[in-house]
Amino acid sequence: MKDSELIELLLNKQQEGLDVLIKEYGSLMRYIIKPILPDYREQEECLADVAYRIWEKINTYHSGKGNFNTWISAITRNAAYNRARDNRKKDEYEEMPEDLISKDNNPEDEILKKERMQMLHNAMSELSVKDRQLIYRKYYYMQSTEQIAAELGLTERAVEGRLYRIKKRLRGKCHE
Amino acid sequence: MNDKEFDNLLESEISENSIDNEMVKGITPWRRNMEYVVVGLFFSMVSFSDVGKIMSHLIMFFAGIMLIVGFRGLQKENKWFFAGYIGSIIKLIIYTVIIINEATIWKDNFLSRLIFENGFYLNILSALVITVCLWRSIRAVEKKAQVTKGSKSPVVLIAWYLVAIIMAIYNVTSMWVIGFMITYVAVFVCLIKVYKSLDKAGYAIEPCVIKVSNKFIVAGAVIVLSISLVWVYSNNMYTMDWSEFNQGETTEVNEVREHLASLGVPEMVLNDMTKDDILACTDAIKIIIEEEDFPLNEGYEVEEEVAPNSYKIYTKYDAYEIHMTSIALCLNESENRWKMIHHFRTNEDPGFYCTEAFILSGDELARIDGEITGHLVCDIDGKTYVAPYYSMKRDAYYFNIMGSYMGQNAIYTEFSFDRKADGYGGYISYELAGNDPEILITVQTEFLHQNDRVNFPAKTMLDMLENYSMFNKDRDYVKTYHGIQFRPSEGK
Repeated sequence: MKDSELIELLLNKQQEGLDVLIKEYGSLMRYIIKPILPDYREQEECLADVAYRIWEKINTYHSGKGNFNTWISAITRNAAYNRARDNRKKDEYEEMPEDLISKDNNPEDEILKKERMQMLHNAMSELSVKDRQLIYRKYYYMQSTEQIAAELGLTERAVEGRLYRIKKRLRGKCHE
Repeated sequence: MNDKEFDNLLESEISENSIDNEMVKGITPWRRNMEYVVVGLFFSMVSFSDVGKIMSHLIMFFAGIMLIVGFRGLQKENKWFFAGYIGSIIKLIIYTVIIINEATIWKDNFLSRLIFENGFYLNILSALVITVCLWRSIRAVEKKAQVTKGSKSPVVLIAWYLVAIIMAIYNVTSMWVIGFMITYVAVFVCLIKVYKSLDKAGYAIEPCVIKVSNKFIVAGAVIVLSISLVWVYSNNMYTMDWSEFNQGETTEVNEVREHLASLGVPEMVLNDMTKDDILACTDAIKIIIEEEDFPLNEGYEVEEEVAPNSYKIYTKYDAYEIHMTSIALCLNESENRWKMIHHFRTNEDPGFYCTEAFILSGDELARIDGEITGHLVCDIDGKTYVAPYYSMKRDAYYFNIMGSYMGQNAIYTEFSFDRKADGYGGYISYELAGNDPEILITVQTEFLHQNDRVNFPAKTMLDMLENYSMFNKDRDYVKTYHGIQFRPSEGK
C-alpha cells in the first residue's frame, strides 16, 4: 500500500489503517525500539504506544517536513527514548540518597551547556553524511557497537576507531 | 568536560533536533549489504567484452568479491542468504581459476579444457544459483516481516538467466547492440526493484558481526589473484634443456670453418653451429647469403616534412634487436645439393617473456633430404649454452591472399629463452637435393617475438600466428620477415 493511502486511512480513523501501519512499518519500529529498550515486553508495549501516538498525531504530519518514514522514525525513537529515560530516572531515584535527588542545575551551567550544544550542532553539520549517520546510529538510535559493525560490514574495533575520531573532531570544534 | 559528559551532550543535542530523511534512509540493517549484492549481480550478469578481455575478467572478479562481501553480513539471517554466500565464494573461486587459466600457456590439459569449455556455463550457472538464493532469502525476510505479497523482480532475473543459458547453448550471440542495451536496462531495473523490495521488510534483517573487515576480504582476494598471476607470468615459458656448448675445436673443424669463412659465412653463424653441421659443409663450393637487422620493438611514428606542405609519415625504430641470416651453400653442383642455414642472433636484448617462434616456409622445403638440425644458443656470464628447440614440426603453412588460403611447406619451431642471458641466437639447417637448376628457390623465415610482459589471454607465439592479421596493430608480439631467394645456377 502506498504511504498516501495509509495516511488517508489513519486520517479517517479507520481501524484498517492501524493494521496496515503495523504490517508495513512494524519492522522499522521494532528496529528502532530494540536497541533502546532491551526488554522484549517493553518493546512490544512501546510498539503499541507508538502506533497509538501515530493514530492520534496523524493530522500533525505534513509531507513538506519530511517523509512519512522519517516522521514515524522520529516518533518511534522519541517514544522509546522517553520510555528508557523514565526507566533510568526511576532506577536512579531508587538508588540515589534522598538529599541528591532534588539538586537543581545552576543557571550558569545551563547557559554554558546551551552554548556548547549550539557549537556542537554547528560542528555536526560540518560532518560528512557517513560520519553523521554513524553518530546518529550511536547517539540517536542507541545502537550497540556490535550492531553498527554488523550493519556496516566493519569490525567492532573499526567502528570504535571511527567513532573516536569523529568525537575527537567534534570536541575540537567545540573548544575552538 | 570528560568523555561521559561529552556523550551526554551529544545525545542531548541529537535528541533535541529532528532527524532528517537522509539519516533515516541511510540507517538500515540491510542497505549496505544489499547494495554490494545488487551491484555484484549486475556486473555478473552483463558482459563487458568490449572493454577488453582482461578488463571484463577483472570486472567479473570484483563482482564476485562484492557478492561475497554483501552476502557475508547476511549469512546468518536465513539459510538462503547463507547459500548465497557459499555460492558467491564458489563463483569467485571459479572466476579466479578462469583468470589464472587464461593467463597460462598450459591450456592443453584436461583441467584447462574443462575450464575453457565450461567456464561460461559455470559462471552463469553460479550467478543463477545466487539469484535463486537471493529470491528465496528476500521471500524469507518478507515472511519474517509478515509481508504476504512478495517481490516478483528476482523471478524475472531468474527467467533472464535461463534465456541467457539457452542462448549460450544454441550459440545465439548475434544480438543487436540495441537488444543488449534493452537487456542491460531491464536487468538494472529488476535489480533496483529487488533492492527496493526491502525498503520496509528489510528492517527485519539482523546482520551478523564479522571478524575480518570487508577491506581485508577485498585485499586478500586481490593479493591471491595478483600473486598467482605474477607466479604464472614468471613461469609462463617452456622448460628448455640448456647445456654448455662445446663445438669441439679439432683441426678438421677449424679447416672447414676457415673454408666457410672464406666463402663468406659470417663468424657469428659459424660460432653457433654444431661440429656436425660445420663438417657437413666440407664440400661447399659456392654461397648465396642474405642478412639483415630487424627491430623486435614496435617503434614509433615520425612525421617528417620532405617538401613544403608535404609530409612523410613512417615508423622509426631506435633499435634493431635481431640479425637474421639465411645462407645457401652449394655442396655438389651436379647433384644440385644445397646446405641451407637459417640463423638468428640478437644484437641487443629485446626482453624475452614467454615464448618465441622461428618459422621457415617455402615450397622447396618438400625436397629436404636428411634430417633437420639446429639448436638455440644463449650466452650467460661468458659461457655459451645450447638447447634443442622445445618443439619442431613440419606442417603446412597457410596464408591468405585476397581472401583465399594458400598452403606451403613449413617448419615450425617454438621455444623460450633464459631471461638472464646476455645474447640469444639459434639456427635451423637442412639439405635440399634434386632441385631443378633453373627453379627459383624461396625460403621465408619469420621470427615471432612477444614484446609485452603480459599477454592476456596468454598465447604461445604459434597460437598467435594462427590468428595473425597484418591489419591488427593491437597485439602483444612482433613478427619479422626475412628470406632467401635464388636459382641454383646462381651463386659465387
